Amino acid sequence: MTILNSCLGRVEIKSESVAPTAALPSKRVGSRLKVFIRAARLAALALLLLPAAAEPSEPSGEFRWAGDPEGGAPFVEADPAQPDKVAGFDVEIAELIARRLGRQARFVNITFTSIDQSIERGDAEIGLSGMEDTPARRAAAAPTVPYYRFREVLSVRAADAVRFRTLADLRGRRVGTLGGTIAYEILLGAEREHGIKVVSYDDDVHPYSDLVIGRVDAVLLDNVLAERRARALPGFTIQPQSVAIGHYVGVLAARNSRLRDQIDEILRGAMGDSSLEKIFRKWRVWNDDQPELHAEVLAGKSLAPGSGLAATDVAPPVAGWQATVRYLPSLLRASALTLVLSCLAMALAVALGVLIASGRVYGGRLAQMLLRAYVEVMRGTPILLQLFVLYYGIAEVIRLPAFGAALLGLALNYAAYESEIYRAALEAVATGQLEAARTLGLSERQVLGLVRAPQAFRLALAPMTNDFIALLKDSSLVSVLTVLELTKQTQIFATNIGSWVIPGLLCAALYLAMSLPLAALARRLEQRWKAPTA
Amino acid sequence: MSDWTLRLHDVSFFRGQRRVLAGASFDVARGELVALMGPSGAGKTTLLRLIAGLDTFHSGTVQVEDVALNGGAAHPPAALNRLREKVGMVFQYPYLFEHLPVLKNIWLAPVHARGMPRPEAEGRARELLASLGVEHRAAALPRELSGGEAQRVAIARALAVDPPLLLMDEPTSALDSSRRTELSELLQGLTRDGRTLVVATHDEEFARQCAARVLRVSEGCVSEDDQIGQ
Repeated sequence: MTILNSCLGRVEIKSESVAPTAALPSKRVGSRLKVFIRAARLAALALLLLPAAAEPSEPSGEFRWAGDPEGGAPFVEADPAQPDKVAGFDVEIAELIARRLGRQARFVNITFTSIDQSIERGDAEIGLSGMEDTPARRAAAAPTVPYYRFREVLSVRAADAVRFRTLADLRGRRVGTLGGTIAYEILLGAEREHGIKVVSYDDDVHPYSDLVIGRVDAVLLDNVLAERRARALPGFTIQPQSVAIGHYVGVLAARNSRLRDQIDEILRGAMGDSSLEKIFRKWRVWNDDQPELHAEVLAGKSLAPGSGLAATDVAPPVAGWQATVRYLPSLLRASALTLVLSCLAMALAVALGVLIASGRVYGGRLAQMLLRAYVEVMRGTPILLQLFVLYYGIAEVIRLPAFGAALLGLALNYAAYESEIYRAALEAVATGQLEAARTLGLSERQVLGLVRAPQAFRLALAPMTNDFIALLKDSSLVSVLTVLELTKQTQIFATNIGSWVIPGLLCAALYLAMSLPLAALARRLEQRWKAPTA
Repeated sequence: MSDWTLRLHDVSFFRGQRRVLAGASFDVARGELVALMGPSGAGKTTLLRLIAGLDTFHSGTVQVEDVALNGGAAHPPAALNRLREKVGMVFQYPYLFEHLPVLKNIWLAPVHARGMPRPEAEGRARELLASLGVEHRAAALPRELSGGEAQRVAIARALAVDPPLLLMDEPTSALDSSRRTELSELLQGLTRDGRTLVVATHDEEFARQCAARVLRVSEGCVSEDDQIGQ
């Protein structure tokens, strides 16, 4: 399990960065980069189709390990005392392994959802960042022996502690968790079995804050995360009954099984001499489950990926086409949501853009000034920031639903860009056209509606189409507001099967299936209404 | 009712520091066709624009029938609205509405500015196109017209709102000599219906063909030229 970010402050780590999320001022920017990384990944699908990278030739004195410092304590986080260094129990475990290998630990910063692929590429030798032991990882990689046992626990508002004890009590209710995790898979099973509504988050902070303000009715995450949030955020309680049990493991590439075996021995040794216990106690995560786990590992007992999970919750790895068949319905649903969201947002953006452009061309000085300020603010600040402000920032005053906030955020942002297109198009209509209309006795309103706007529309059509296609793709940003659109669904698919090849190709095909007809329609409209060439 | 349709009294107009018109004064009688002549930049187009209410001027008065525009201030919207019921203008470049077919270019203003029922406005538009010899172009878009056709459609569009005073700026610039003669006859026909025309032109021959009177614009002043017999 990971925490994608809990830090409100800047995290800067002086270490090699593969996915450049560490040197960023906030989660918002970090998440945006994750989106860029996802896009880059899609663009590089051809490269991913190439055979796996050859065995990495690590410098003999260096032990490269990967983690995501946006996870925050107690896994991997920027050290509050020395923000250019990382701290956490996974950091100390990595250092322990490096020491016993006779090497120097070197941290490689990788976005959590990309750690498996980066390990496979050879960016680092091991991933240690609250990585869950899953059947998919066992099939695709070489995980170490489990070194920590966690429990998936249900958190509910204090007032609901009696009525919402289990997932079965939450029929029709919204339950939040991190996407692409065992907890997410458990909730998908509960959605089928108990009729709950799954809400997927990109981080482990907002599920709990949304729980407290009532946007979700429960959160399912592991006890490490739940207990940590409970210390910082009052208003919810953790149900004592575990929903499932799982383990954290280190993840190595399948071809690195020899090193994995060495690390397994080191971990067993650290369990035997209580080195791991010391680390976990230091980070306040030692509990009664751990001696039991360590004893089982030292006794050589074969441990299942998790207990308490239904067979359908964490499905064993399947062939690519089977996974595709399994995930296709959810990808199609996500595509439909993406399309509906994009169409509605564009319609609203066009309407607002027309009003803003009209105000800027025809309005008084004050109106022009205010509208210009609006355009500059919306264009000059990241859309991701605007989405966060709308959904989380003003939640104490106006509690917008996720879809509403996504729709409004995209529309308000794109309205600024649309208004500039329309303003330029209005100003491009020849003055002679307007004067001819005036001398015929048409009022200014009629001149605008009958002569100027229709001609401006033809000029604006091509850039509008571009914007619509851009919005279709920018709609992937709203996944940070728990809206499960196409890119997010693809990411979950890829994380769960441990590969981006099939999910990436499917995702690209679905986006193209949506954008190409739009482009064709726009070309036809442009042809039909094309502005005269001089 | 007075016997003039248009009266300018002591109209002055500056473009920046340059004086374009310096106390221009003249009358145009009802049903008269007057040619405004003069070298390029003399102020012919400026005069037409002032009469059409498209620009404000610095001093003097422009009066079209009972509507007066005074210099030195922005024109009151009510006066402009009334003026535009009385004055039509055909620009040197036709400025047909590019997004509309020819027929709609013509009935647009009668329907929306004058409240004429659309069937009636459309019928009148077809009559005007026929009288100007371009009825076969009713469905065409402006970009599909020749220069001469566009010019005649622009005249039809201006006449569709039936203004007592019609201003025309260089109407022969896109016409060959035979079309020029046709236009001259057309304009004379309009004056026979009691319409007043002021035509700015470089074309001495055209002016001689159609105008009852010529006004010369030179160095900001407007002066009477010799009468031109028909």
